[in-house]
Amino acid sequence: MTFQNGGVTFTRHKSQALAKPGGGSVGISVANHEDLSPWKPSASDPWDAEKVKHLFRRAGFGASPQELAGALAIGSDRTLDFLLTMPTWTIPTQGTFFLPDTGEIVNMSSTTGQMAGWLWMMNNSPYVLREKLALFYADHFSMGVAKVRYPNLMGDTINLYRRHSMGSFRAMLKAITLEPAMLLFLDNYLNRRGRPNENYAREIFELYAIDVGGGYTEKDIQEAARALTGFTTALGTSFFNARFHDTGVKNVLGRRLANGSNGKQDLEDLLDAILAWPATAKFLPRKMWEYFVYPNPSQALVDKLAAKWVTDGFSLQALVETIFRSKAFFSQQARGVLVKNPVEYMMGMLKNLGIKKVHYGRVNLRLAALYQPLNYDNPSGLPDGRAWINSLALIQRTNFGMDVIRNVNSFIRFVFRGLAYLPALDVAAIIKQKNLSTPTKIVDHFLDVMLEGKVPPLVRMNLIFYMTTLDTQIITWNEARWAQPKGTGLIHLIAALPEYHIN
Amino acid sequence: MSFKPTRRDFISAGVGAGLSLPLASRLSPQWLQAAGIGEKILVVLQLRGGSDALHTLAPIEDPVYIKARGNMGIPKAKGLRLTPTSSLYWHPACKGLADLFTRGDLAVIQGIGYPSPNLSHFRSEDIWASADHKATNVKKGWLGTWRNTQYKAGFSIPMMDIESRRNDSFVGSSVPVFTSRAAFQFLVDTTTADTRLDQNLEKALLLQNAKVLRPSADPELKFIADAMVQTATDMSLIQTTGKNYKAAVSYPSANAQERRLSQRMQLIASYIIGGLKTQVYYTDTGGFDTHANQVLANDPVGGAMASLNQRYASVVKAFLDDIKAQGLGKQVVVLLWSEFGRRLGPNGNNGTDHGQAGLAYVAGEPVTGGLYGTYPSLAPFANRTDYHRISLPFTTDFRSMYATLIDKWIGGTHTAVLPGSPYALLGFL
Repeated sequence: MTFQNGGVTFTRHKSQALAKPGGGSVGISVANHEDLSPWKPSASDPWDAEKVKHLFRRAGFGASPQELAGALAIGSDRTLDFLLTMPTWTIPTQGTFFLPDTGEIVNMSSTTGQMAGWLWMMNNSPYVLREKLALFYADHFSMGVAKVRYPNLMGDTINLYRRHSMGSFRAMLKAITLEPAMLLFLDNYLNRRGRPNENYAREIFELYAIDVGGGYTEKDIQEAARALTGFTTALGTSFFNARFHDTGVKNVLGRRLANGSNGKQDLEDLLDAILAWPATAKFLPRKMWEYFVYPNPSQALVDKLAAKWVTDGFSLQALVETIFRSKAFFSQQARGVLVKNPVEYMMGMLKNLGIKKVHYGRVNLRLAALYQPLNYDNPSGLPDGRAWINSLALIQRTNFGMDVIRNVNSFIRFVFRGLAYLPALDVAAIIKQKNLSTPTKIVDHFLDVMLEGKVPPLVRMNLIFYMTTLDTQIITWNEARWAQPKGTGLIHLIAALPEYHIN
Repeated sequence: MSFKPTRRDFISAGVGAGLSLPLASRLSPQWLQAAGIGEKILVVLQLRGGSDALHTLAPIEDPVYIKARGNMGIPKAKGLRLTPTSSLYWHPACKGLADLFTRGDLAVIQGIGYPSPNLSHFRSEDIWASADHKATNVKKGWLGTWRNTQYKAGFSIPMMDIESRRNDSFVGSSVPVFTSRAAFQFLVDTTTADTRLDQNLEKALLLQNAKVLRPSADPELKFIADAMVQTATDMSLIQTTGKNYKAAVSYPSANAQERRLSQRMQLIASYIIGGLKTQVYYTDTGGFDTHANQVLANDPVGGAMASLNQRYASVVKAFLDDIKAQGLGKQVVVLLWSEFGRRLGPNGNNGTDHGQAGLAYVAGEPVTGGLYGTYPSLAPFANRTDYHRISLPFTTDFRSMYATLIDKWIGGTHTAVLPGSPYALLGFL
């Protein structure tokens, strides 16, 4: 199939590796979309708003007006350094507190409270990649509060992802293995000498580290389960109960686990065996690539990423940096080829428009109708981007757009049990401040902010038509009267465009 | 099985053999819808939590049953005998199913399960959803795969999910799967006098913008634009179909859970009777994880399991009576399933723990009623004392039931859908 994107014509099919653009290649040069060397701006390929938005959509939840302006001002190197060098910022997972700015009361003993805190972080933390990686890992280590039962333990897992997502993969695997929520979710708390429970052992192989069909055997899983006996949890903490540990000899992935003096060494040896297994180095890099860059990378590209990751000692910081700094990431083939998940769609709209004052618990209620990251109780996570899209999902997304722009009493701007509402988005002020003196300028501005202006010309014409037309009459543009009602309606229409669901 | 041509037959006939003139003249879209899609409807009701078969339909005179179940066993005086000579008795709250069985509209699939049973709810549900007992997660649900093989394009809602918490059976369908909810429409801002003045225009443009041609080779964008256009059709169908539906019978409403299930089944009935061409409806009801207080301490046929049995048995009976009274009985089949049965003996809390083989039911006028498969024998456990540890081994693979539903009812061939095919068909359809 051929399609045009930014003037470059190339051929692509979802189930195939991307074809190399252009005709005759020169020498041994690597195709741009397979090139992992760092991207640098040039005269023909400058650091522009389009690339900033691409970067922030993938590494975060879309660029806010401030982030866009800032990134353009400081240039690509410093923007990437800033995004990729993040202090850890965790949030409390117990108790009740007020969210800054809105006065929303957040009760962390509920899933909605945990989600409200997290959505607030997505919208307010300057370290957006930290929150995006947390979302990635919440899908990768997909758990459900329905089984774990304690929302605060689910919140702890988000903090775990925040702490480990730029550290070592081995440390993350160890931490998640010992995390109370995981011990409960995949039953390792029941895994005892003589009564092994293989649930977690199977998933660490199949879903977390090596991949289904990664060359291990059922016997490897059984032996790994024995190595994990005795790691259990109670009262929100995890501990090792040596009485329940199987001290016999185990052989996993061709290695003999040493057991050690107290049994805890088994876990260390198991992690070493998993990291030494060849399929491990390829699994996470491929998954990250498909999540952050484009679907179906070539085997050669995955092999290159994997080899580099091994050299980098399974450092997640190194892997993430390689991906986001690469020429491939900024190549045309990576642009606009993913479908936004519900979090990306909803938080992206708030970010794009610079809206901070919402009731995050109620945003989560809207989100939960589409996807609940803390209660997605299928351990394997999500199937693929298209699975997000169906009739009802499109209606719910579009209606969320209506919640965002609604002029009075919006569901998501409600605080204090309906006694007060946060102020509506002041579109009239934006129009005034940007000096958007005609309907056409207003349409072009918001198309640019939300979509870099990339819509079919006929859609743009429809939107301009909308600005000056009512159900029963045509109006003469009068900014004082129509900027707010027409401006909010316009944003709603843009948020409903098929283009706005593309990442 | 009748040999009315299905939509699929027509497509293959049209492509492969060319159309004879009389046939072609009947090929209007209305005809296609009336004769093909939506004529043979399957309603799936999942009983979440592992329903206790031994407290539903059981050999209650078997000495092993009496010994194993102890004070939780259904007493002979209370049980409803399946037939005058049967060794099986219904729990008294299953009267609805007992009546369906008597009139020949209920197939009871005995000893249903799969090899290498898994006692985790999640895992076992995944296995039932994927129809793959080796599956560790659901990448393809059996109905999702069925839909992909049966409906390549066109009609957008051959399957509908009525508010089930999680329905992995639909996973993997390459076209949007539909979930019905009350708010199935676009909302626009009508909060101020000025925003009310253009509400119809705004609603129209929400769809008009999606209809504008997109670059055809940008697959993700095209997919979403098509889905958005389809949404308009779906929306008007969902808003208008079955609006004038009135139940022909009264549905049970003894408690909140019963009312909720009744509401869902009535919603399904309203769509079927209203003529929506959806072919598979899916819903669920929960509470079957009865580790404690499954029965009352002083009444083995009271307690949680009694109201659970009452709920699904009476609601399904009402639903089928409703459909039958409205003249569509020959088009609807209901499947009831649960992820596993429970142990032979009770635990210490008047409850039962996760077991293996259980029961499934296929109900409706098209069904040839009766018993299918073999009830697992209790004899091997006669000399045991640890009944709370014993699970009944499966005798009928659940894929045989799915295969029968595919081949003999919803259309297509099970070998194209179910992993590990072929499976032996059961005779209930």
